[in-house]
Amino acid sequence: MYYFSDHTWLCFINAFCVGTVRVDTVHVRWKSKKDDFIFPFDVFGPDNHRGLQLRRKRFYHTLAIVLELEPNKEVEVAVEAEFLENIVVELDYTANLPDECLASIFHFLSSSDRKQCSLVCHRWFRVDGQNRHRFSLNARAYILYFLPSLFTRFDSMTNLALLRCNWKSNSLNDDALVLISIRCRSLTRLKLRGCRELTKKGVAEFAKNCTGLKKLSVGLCMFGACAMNAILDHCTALEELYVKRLKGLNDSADPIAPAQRVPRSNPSA
Amino acid sequence: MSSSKKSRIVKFKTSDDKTFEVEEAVAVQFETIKSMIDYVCANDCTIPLPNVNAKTLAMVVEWCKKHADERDQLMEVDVDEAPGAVLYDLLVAATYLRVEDLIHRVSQRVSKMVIEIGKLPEEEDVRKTINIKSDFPPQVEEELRKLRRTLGPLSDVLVLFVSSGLLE
Repeated sequence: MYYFSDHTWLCFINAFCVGTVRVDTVHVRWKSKKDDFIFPFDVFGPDNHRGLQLRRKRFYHTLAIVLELEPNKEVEVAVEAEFLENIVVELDYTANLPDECLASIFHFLSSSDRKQCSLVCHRWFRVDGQNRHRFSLNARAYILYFLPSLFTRFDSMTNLALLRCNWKSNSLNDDALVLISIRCRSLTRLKLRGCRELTKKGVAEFAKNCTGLKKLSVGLCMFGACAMNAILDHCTALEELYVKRLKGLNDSADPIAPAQRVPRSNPSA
Repeated sequence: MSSSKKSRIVKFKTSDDKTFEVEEAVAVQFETIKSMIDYVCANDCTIPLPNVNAKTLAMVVEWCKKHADERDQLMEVDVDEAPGAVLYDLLVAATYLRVEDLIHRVSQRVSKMVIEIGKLPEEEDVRKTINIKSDFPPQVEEELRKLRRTLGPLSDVLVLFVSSGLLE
């Protein structure tokens, strides 16, 4: 039987890690006769810097290993000698990747793969949230309750689509749209499909808050001409506008037309 | 590059204490280094690269050379053949040196790996394959499993739930 103290652990890691040892977390898996278990421990260097690789020699002299189970305490662990050679050091390569690298990888993933990946660990969850600009949401009424947390997570969202596939359920209402406009003022692209519960009041409020809107696409909505005019008046940065099957046009006698200026592309109502 | 002008040499010191001599034509492709080349060449300095090892730097330099020679061929071969650990090293190095094309190329390759993993049913498999330990609270994991059972694969509802559950 071998008993390992903190110090011998150090030598031990030193002996079994070939090449470079990466700072952060090193997992040592150990196979005993009964079961194999992974013994994780954190490695703290003189400069606890993510992504820094330290050579074996330097690692030995300068790093201290703190066992996760009992930090800063000498821990004795017994292993039978013949199993020592079975020790496999597993490294999490992504721990060394800076956040930007992770983000650039996520950039190439599809929406569903990103969703999956964001559930891997807190860091991936955070990085995915910070770097996602485009989001598509099923526009049901209940999403109102989730909106605050959603926009806290995806705080750099600029491109939002609110779609509805089920006609029986209620769509999101004015409150939700206003909340979106308050939380997400940098919104540049918005797509609304089948959001029947939206009225001219909500859309007008939205237009006041999101003045940076560049592209708006509306389909199967009921908010009528007044709301469209409010958007044309307030969203002066608007470059593209698609309108399809807009209802509620009979409510007011006003035609859809900008108050002061001519938009670059004409609405095809 | 014009051959009339004698190309200068930029010296690098890698994380494993090896000195590397790189032609100026290659070194200008490292955005991080670009601005200091004149100073370094004039004063005969060595640029230390604390998180790039010799093997990786050799790969980056080779990539840059080929890229300069044959602009349209993005030499897909050696990046594609590289195993995971090398790719990660390469990505760290490319980000540190800011070689945009290489970052693009490598992260595309790594994302392919992630997609392959993603074909597996759950994020647990992603964790196992890349050796990441889950740091979500067990209650959230349990809820997630339950919702997945009732709602099927990752739906909108699930994303909303997870967003609200994990941020609190």
